[in-house]
This record gives sequence, C-alpha cells and structure tokens, in this order.
Amino acid sequence: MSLKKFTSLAAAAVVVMLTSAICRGAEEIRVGALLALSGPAAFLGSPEQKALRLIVDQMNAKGGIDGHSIKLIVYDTEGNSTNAGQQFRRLAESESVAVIVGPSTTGESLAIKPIANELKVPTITLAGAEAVVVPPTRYVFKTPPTDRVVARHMLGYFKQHGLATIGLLSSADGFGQTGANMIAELAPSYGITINAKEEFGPRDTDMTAQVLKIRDSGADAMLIWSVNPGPTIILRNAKAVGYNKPIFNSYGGATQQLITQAGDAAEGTYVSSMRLLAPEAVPTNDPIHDIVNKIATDYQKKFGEAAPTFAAHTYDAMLIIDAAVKKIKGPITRDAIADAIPTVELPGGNGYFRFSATDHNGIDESSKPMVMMRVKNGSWIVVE
Amino acid sequence: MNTLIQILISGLVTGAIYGMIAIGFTIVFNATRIINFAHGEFAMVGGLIAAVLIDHRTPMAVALPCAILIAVLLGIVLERLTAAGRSRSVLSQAMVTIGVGIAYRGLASALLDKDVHFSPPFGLLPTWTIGAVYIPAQGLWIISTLALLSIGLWVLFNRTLLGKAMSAASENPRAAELCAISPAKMSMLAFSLAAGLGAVAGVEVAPMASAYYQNGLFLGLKGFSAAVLGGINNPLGAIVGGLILGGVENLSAGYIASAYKDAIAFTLLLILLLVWPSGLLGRVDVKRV
Amino acid sequence: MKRSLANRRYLYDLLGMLILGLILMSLGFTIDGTFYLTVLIFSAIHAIAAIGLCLLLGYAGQVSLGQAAFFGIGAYTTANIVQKLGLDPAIGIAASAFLSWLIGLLIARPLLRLEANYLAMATLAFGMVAYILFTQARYLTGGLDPGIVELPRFAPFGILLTTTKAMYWVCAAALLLTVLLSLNLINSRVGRALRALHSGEVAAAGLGVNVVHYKTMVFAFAAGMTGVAGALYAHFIRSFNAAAFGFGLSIELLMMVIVGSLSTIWGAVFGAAALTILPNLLEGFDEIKTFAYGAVMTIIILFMPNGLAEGIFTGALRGWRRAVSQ
Repeated sequence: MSLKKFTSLAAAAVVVMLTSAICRGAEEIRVGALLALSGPAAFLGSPEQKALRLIVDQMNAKGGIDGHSIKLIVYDTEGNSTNAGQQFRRLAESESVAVIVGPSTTGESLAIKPIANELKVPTITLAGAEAVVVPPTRYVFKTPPTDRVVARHMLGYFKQHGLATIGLLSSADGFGQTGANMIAELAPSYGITINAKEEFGPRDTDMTAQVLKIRDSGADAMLIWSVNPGPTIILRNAKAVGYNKPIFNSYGGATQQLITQAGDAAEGTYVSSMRLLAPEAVPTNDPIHDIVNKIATDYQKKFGEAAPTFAAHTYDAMLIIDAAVKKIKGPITRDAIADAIPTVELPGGNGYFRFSATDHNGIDESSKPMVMMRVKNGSWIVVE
Repeated sequence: MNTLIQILISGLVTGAIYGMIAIGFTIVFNATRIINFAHGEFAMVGGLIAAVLIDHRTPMAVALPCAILIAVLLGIVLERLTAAGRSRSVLSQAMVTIGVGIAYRGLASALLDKDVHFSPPFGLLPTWTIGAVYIPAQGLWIISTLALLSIGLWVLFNRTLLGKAMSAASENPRAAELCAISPAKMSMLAFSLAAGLGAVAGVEVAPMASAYYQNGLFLGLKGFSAAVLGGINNPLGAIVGGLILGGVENLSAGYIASAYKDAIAFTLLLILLLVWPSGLLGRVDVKRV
Repeated sequence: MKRSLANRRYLYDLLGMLILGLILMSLGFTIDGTFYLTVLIFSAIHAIAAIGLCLLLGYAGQVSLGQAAFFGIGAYTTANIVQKLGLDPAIGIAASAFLSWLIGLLIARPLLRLEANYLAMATLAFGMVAYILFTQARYLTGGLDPGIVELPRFAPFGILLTTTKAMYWVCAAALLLTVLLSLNLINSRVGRALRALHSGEVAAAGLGVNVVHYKTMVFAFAAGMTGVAGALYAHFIRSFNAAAFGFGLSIELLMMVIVGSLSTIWGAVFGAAALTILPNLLEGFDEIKTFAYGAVMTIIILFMPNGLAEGIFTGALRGWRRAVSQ
C-alpha cells in the first residue's frame, strides 16, 4: 500500500492503543470464583453465581473498585473437592487472579484451605463450618454464619418456648448431616433431648415412615434439616398423617418456594433463616437493614424471583473485597488484600461483619444473623 | 398397627414408582441384552418437561403427552446410537447408554432449568382415608397406572405375536431374522416403549416427589435394583422387585434405622442374588462351571 | 514357537514401560505449574485404579461397578492410621493395600459365581452399601461432615514432602510400579490362565484351569490396587469426605477403562489421563459442559471401539500414510 495510507493507518493504530490504555486506566482486578453450579450442591452455587454477577456488574457500572474494573472468572466445581482443588490452582496460576470467592461447600473449602495458604491467594469461602477459619490462617476467610451460630439460634428458641424434646429429620448429604451433628452436639447444653434422629435420601420420594417414627417418639417438635424437595415432601407427609406438633426448618427451607410448593401443608411451619428471607422485617435502625433490602430488591428485579438466602454469601464477599481494596495504600497484590480483609467492618446481607486477625468470619451472634419466621396465611412473618 | 399399615402403604407407592421404572429396564434388556444406563433420564426428562410446560401455563392434558412423546423421541435417538455400536460387545453398547444419559442430563439442565419443580397433582382421584390410614391421591394414580401397565405388558409379551417376536429377537437374533423378525425394529420398539414408560413414571412422580434434572440417576439406580431383584429378563418380575424394594426400604426406615434403609435394601438384594442368581422371577439361563 | 511369542509380548510390554517411564520423567522435569502437576497427579492416581479394573474387565471379563468402595477403604484406612495412630504414611498405604485386597478377596468368592449382569448389580450394591457406611461411620470417617480434615503433610518413611512436584514423583513411581506388577501378572501363569478363561470359561475349565480361583485372585488384586490409589488420593488432597467415593467414581473408572482400552493396560493409563484432563478442557463450555462431556464420551465409544489410545494411534497412522502416499 502507499506510504500515505500506511502512515495514517499506523497513526490510527497508535491513537487506538493510547486511548484504550488510558480508558483502561488502572489495571483490572481479577476475581476468581469456584462455585457448585451443578451437582448436589447446585442449590448453593446457582444463587451464589447470580448474586456475584449482579454485584460485579453493578460495581463495574460505577467504574469498578476504586477505578479498577473487575474481571470475574467463574468455574463450576460440581460440588466436587477434587475439581475444586484443580480449579483453584488454575485460577491462581493460569488466570493470575488476585482473590478467590468460594467454594460453595464445607468439604470443598476444607480441601482448598491448604492450597490457598500454599499458593498465597486470599480466599473468601462460602462454607458453613467453623473448621474452615478456626484456627484462622492468613489467606482464608468466610462469609456465612457458622453452623454453630445457626444451631444455637434454633435451640435457643426451643428452650425459650418450652420445647424440651425434638425429633430430628435430616437429609443424608453434607448439608443435612452438618446440621444434625451440630444440633446433636449442642442440644444437651440447652437441656433439650433428641427423641428420634432420622435420615432420608435427598432424592427420596416419601418420608412418611420417618415422620411416623418421630410422631410415635412423642417429641414436642420436629426439626427438618434439608433443602428442597425434602421439606416440601415431609410437610405434605406430615399433614397427611395428621401430625399436629410444631415443625421447624433449617435455613435450607428458608425459601418462598417452600410455601408455593408445599401449599397449605406449609401453613404454620417455622424456619430459622438469615435475614434475606424477610427484608422488610429487619428493623430500620438495624445497620444491615439497607443492605439486606438492597440485595433483595436488586435480585428480584434482575432475576424475577426472590433471593435465596445463599445469594448474600457472594454478595457480601464482593462488598468485603471492595472495602479491603479501598484500604490498600500501595500496589494491589494478593498479600495486600489478604492483610486488608481482617481490618474490614461493614454491614452485609448475612450480618454485620467485624473481621479481625483472630476472627476470619466476622459474624457472631451479636450481629443477629438469624431470625425465626413462620408461615401465616401463605407468607413468611417474623415471630421472634 | 396403624403405623404399620401406613408404612406398608408408603412402601406400596414407593415400590410402584420403582417398579414402573424397572419395567423399562427389563423391556430393553429382553429385546437387546443391553443394560440401559440412561433409562433413569427418561423418567427425569418426562417429569421435567411436563413440569416446565405446566409452569408456562400449558394445560396438563397437553403437557403430559408432549413430555412423553419427547422422551420417546430421545429413546429412539439412543437406540440408533446403540445400534451403531451393535457390532461390538454388549458392554460397549451399555457404555454408550452411559454417555448418552450424561448428554441428556446436560441437555435438560442447559435447555430447561436446574430448579426443583413440583407439578400440580393430577386430581380426579380422591385421597382415601380408612380410619387413621391414608393413601394419597397421587399415590393412587401411580398404583393404578402400574396395575394397568402390568396387565397390558403381560398381554403384550405372552399373547401377542409382537411381544413374542421381541423376546425371540433377543434370544437369538439370527434365528429371529430367519423368521422375518427384524432385530433392529424390535430394538427400536423396545427402546421407544421403555422411554415412554419411563416418562410416564416420571410424570406421575413429579407432583409427589418433584421433577429435577438430577433425579435421573437416583430413579435409574432404584429401578435397576428392582429389575434385577425381580429377574432382569422378566417385566412382571420388575414390578414385583419394585414393590419388594419399596416395602423393605420403608419398613427399614420405620422400624430399624432410617439412616441405613438403603444399605439394608441393598444388602438384602446382595443376599438374594447369592441365593437366587437370576433374581426372584428370572429365568435361569446362567451356566455355572 | 510359543516361547518366542510370549517373550515378544513381554518385550513389547517392557518397551512400553520404558516409554511410559520416559514420558513421566520428561513431564516431571519440564512442568512446574502446580495446576498441571495436580492434573497429572490425579491422572496417575486414577490410572492405578483403572489398571486394576482393566485387569478385572479386560483380562478376567468381570464387571465391577463398585470400585469406588475400595478407593474409599484405602483412603480411610491410611487416614485413620496416620491421624489416629500417628504412624508413618508408608505404613498407612501398605495397610490400605492389604485391607482392600482382603475385603476384595472375601467378597469375590460368593460374587463371582454370578452371571455378568447380576455381578454388575452385586458390585453396584456393594459399592452403595460401602458408601452408606462411609457416611454413617463418623468415628472412622467423619461422615459427610466434616469428613477427614487436614491430614498431616505427606511424610513417607519420615521424609517430609513439601511440594506438589514431590507428590508427582511419588505418584508417577507408584504408577510405574503398578504397571510392572500388572505386567508380571499378565505374563505369568495367572495371566495365561486368565486369557484362557476370558475366551471361553467352559473350555478353560475343561483344560483344568481353576476358574473361580483365578477370578478371585484378579478381583482381590484389583481391589488392592484401587485401595493404594485411594490412599495416595487421601495423602494428596488431605481433606475429603465420603462424597468422593460414590457411584459416580465407580462409573468414571469404568469409563476410563472402556474409553482407554479393554485389552491393554496402556489403554487404561491413557483413558485415565484423558478422562481426568477432559473436564478441564471443557471448562469454557459453561452451561453445556455436561452435555459436551456425555457427547464426547459417546463419540469415543462409538468411533474408537478399541479405545481412545488405539483410535488416535490408528487415526494418526492413517493420516501419516495418506500424507506419505500423496
């Protein structure tokens, strides 16, 4: 081509490169996510991914974190620890992420904990178990309230209302067993006896036999620890056999779906839930009131359905990353982020976070992360 | 006493579900000697498509046949793929069913959704309550469908030429061909029938126990166990196997330990196989050396 | 005549081992990223289990849908020995091998009398019962929550291995050892007996081959090897629960053997590597990842009936021939 054409093309190219460099501004922050988008823990990973993408889009629309745009890379672990381990390394080495959100389950989080500390990548896990952050390690954190906090809320309510014996019905998966074990461990200290401890398969079609066993044990109340479809089927079975004692659910049943699917079998059932299930019930003077309502409203608007409580796990993780990065004075490195997170204090969907060097979860009972609700006339109302 | 009867009824309903799925296994095995590992996915697909259609306001009378039809089409596709592997071993063909089963599950999760759906119960039939014992209306549907299917299948395999042709084609394909029976056509028929029946099972279970893209594995496993229990080459044995499996599970849950109910059922299955190597009602075509 | 045929096969096998050893060494010396090393480590671990299944399926003609049980038994045995008894992991791995082998031996006798389809169901049932026991026996396994938590860092014979690379060398060595043992088995009297009974049980029995005895031996051997694989898995991943040892793993191992090759253990190694690497390749597919995985599986089984290794080899050969002839 002619010299003139060449020069103008070259000039254009230089201009384009310069502008894009300027427009890119500061470097992007690469955030990796390990979520259980398929497999048995998909009930966690799916809303977690939606909420994560929601907040990342919102942040990027405002110019990112402190002017750094966020590049999100999500991998599906299928709830499998082996995959989680491999993908963690891939995110850390091939994708050069600065921080990782996830994995979704306790089992996976425990598996990647040594890897996070080996490769020195700050990781905000979404696991329920204490063991992930107790004892605290430099690079591993978590957002959801611990299973212990959740169980204590439940048992405290029972004690307060004179329910001295309970029948436990949990699903034979990680979620169900965690809850059942925690309740069994803590119940004696609340003076509560477990009359019957029953299990069912997460895909089972009928739990009438277990319900009858709990009924015949004479327990004052039934506690279901499972995610859907378990609670729906159990509530229906219970109604059909005429079970008349109060039925409680773990936060696995804290969904609008439980009411729509179980229909009038759900009437009167209780659930111990994170705040996100009933945003309007959070008192206006509670520091987390605004953020809980924001998550609920934005999620509903974007996805056309009520936000499952798990959505708050990843939303909070990004809020924490945002706050941590803003505190960094020098270059934004993995170590800088890891050391900034323990200084973060902010209101989140899960509760009020107060991280410290010894507390890598940040939520304890003082933030009141759990609230007791009950189905009345087809909707959740707060009863605490 | 009431508790016992109620548990037995639960066992009956659960067993009927397993039996309906087990029939599909035996029909395909009978006609082709293949263990169809994708069978559970037919039940899943049937239930899920019906549930999603109904969610989008399709009337039940349209949604259910649609779902069953799509499952049958998927069955035909599977059959064609296994036919491509016909020259190799039955094991290879069984492996093809595993691969295709995974693919169907992937399609369902990608094209439909990953939510747990409870479709509305069929209604029409009442919930029977005798004293303190109840039979859920949907359970009644499942039991009656199973009864009708059993009669229909017995007639098909024992009284019609078509049914006998299907058995003939599996026992000795060459000889069958000489009798103008096309093993390929029989195979196609078997897979379509099995897919349709599986879908019916899925559609009937969905109101009671949900339709979910991951249900296929579980239903398939239970169905396969029931089929083997009753004798994998006997469709009526499948029903018996299903009822026994459902009964044992529920009785174990109610009277022994619910955490071990599946373990007890499987252990009993193991012991049974050792005593009756062909299953309870299976034909003995095992040659022991 | 016969001697030279057998010797030739043995020579080929030794050559294969040499090549495998060279490949493993060159990978070890060139790759440093822990992600790739991790994939290779899991490939090696799966390969050890797959070789066992290949011997069972390809040589003895027995289907097992319950290998995950032995994988789990191996993992939990070594975990308990190291965590609860505080003993050396080398002892743990040895115990895993022994216990899996023993349990395999005990259940093989009654099960192997069953016909193929019923054997499949029986091994499946065994696998399911094992899984349920894993989830319930909290004292030994930690159940599904929290499972085995943070095994100490792998220090066989007291030598602390701190890097992923070190673990890679251990697993590569274990794989080579497994291959050596299997080749010895195949080329021994046992192997010949197996080949005889695979082509015709009745004929073999007629020739005085103790069918049940050899089938039992292979089953137990496969169980033991799968137990070793499980033990290595436990020491690499250090935190795990029963979810890793479900029906899915049994099917995965079976697919590795079928995809790789039924007739040679090299195929099993290749299949294990392929199926461990494949999901990582499909990562970008997001929503249709599961569908893609199933579709790829089906295509491989349909178009490469002798396994992926041979399929690729034949395809490459054909392509080379075509290129040369033009």
